[in-house]
Amino acid sequence: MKTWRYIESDGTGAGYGLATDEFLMDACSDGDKATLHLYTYRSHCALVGRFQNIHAELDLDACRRENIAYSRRLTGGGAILMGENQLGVCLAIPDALGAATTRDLYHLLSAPILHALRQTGIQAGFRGKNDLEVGGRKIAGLGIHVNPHGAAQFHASLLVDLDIPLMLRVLNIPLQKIGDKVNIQKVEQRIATVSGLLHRPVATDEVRQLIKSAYAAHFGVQLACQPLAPAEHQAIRQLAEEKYEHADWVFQRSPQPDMTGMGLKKTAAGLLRTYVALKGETIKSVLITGDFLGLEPLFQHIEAQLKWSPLDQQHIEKVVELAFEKHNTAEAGIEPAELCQAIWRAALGAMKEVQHTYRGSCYYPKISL
Amino acid sequence: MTTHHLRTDLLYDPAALFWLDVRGNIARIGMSPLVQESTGSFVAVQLAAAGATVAKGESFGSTEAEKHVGQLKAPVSGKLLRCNERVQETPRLINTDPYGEGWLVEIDMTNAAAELPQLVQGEAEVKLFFEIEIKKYQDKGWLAEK
Repeated sequence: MKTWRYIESDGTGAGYGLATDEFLMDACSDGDKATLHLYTYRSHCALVGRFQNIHAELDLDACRRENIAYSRRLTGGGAILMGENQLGVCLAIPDALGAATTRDLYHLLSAPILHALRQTGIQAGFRGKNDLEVGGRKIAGLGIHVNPHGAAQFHASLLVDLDIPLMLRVLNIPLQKIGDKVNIQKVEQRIATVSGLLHRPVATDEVRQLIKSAYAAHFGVQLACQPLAPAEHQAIRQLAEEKYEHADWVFQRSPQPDMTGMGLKKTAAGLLRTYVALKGETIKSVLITGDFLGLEPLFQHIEAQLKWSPLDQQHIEKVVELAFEKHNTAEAGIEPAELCQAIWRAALGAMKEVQHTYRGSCYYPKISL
Repeated sequence: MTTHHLRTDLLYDPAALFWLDVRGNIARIGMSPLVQESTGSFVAVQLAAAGATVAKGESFGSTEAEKHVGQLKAPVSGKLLRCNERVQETPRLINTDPYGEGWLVEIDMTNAAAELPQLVQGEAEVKLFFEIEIKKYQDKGWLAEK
């Protein structure tokens, strides 16, 4: 039976946690020993994706007020808030473990997380291409970085619990300026936590132990607990200082503009309001709102499918049509074409917007109030 | 390939499936349509600065597609003469125009005599290579969902 290294840590700083994962990935470039790192960040840290504009994704003034550290991940995707109730999963592997494509790799490496959640009674599955969901609500985000030697780090951020008001204050999310209960509910409709689904406070370590066992069983390996040695801590500290805590890395800018727009559409069922955030010609996020009873699952499905997809009218139409087919929308009072128009209108609005004024996040674009 | 015709007049890197348009000592490099069809939509591209020197197999940039950040490994050694700024601003050009506006870099090769023969080239060889590759991708379900 193969042996993988296993490391647990808690309360790590933003830069230090990310440096640890890069260090572990690079360390396994030279050998064949994978490392599973299950850890939590100090409450709280905000981490943006590899190519995101941090000024667009985070309210940095709020971060400073709330004493929230921030940094930039190696992996792609959107901004996340990490702390003691969000479990960080990092699997550092020397190669792709036989998976040839990104999708294969995501499925292979996140399968133990799904298995562990099922053990608690939570039926989670894949959403879109690289999120884990429960009933249409995101419970974990995934990301992968492959280094020049072919070694990879797989990241997952699993929501054991989440301080939604804090997230609304720190990440650039629409509704954040309102902050009332209705809007917190709107976030809750799109995000799931282990504690929320199990209707009890769940300790992060309880989930961690399940995930640890699930990885060992899934890959048929023995996990050898081997904490970081002093020399490794020193190397990680140096990497954190030189990279993840350094302004050149944290504040680097993407050449692609960030833009957002809103589309309004009157329908028989009411006013449909759609927000689209773009990064260049890629849809970063979509938020569909309106007083439509029972249509949240439809909207959430479309939002998830369109996230990080190309800005292409035909693609939008196809996603919307498939979503209407999947969900029971006979009495919806809204037609697929109307929804497509609203989304496209918002996208056009985004494209017209002056560049670099966008403020949005991985969850929602900004709402102009 | 479903979205683009395979150009058989170019050279191809069998490892990373880059295409190379070689003129004299200069190689313009981009991703073959098979890469973008299997990877999905590119959302970010970052290329090394012009003037940098790369050895074959070394990284000359990185890309993000579907939250996967990977390296671009040079198929030949040399000095980066030009980097496509447009593709950095609009990474989807790799998907929409892989042989045209989606090119990545131009390299002034320093070891062409040794490295070019290692590439897939000639109409028959290119066709055969991609027939096998495409079959492999299809069999394993590696092509991106449309």
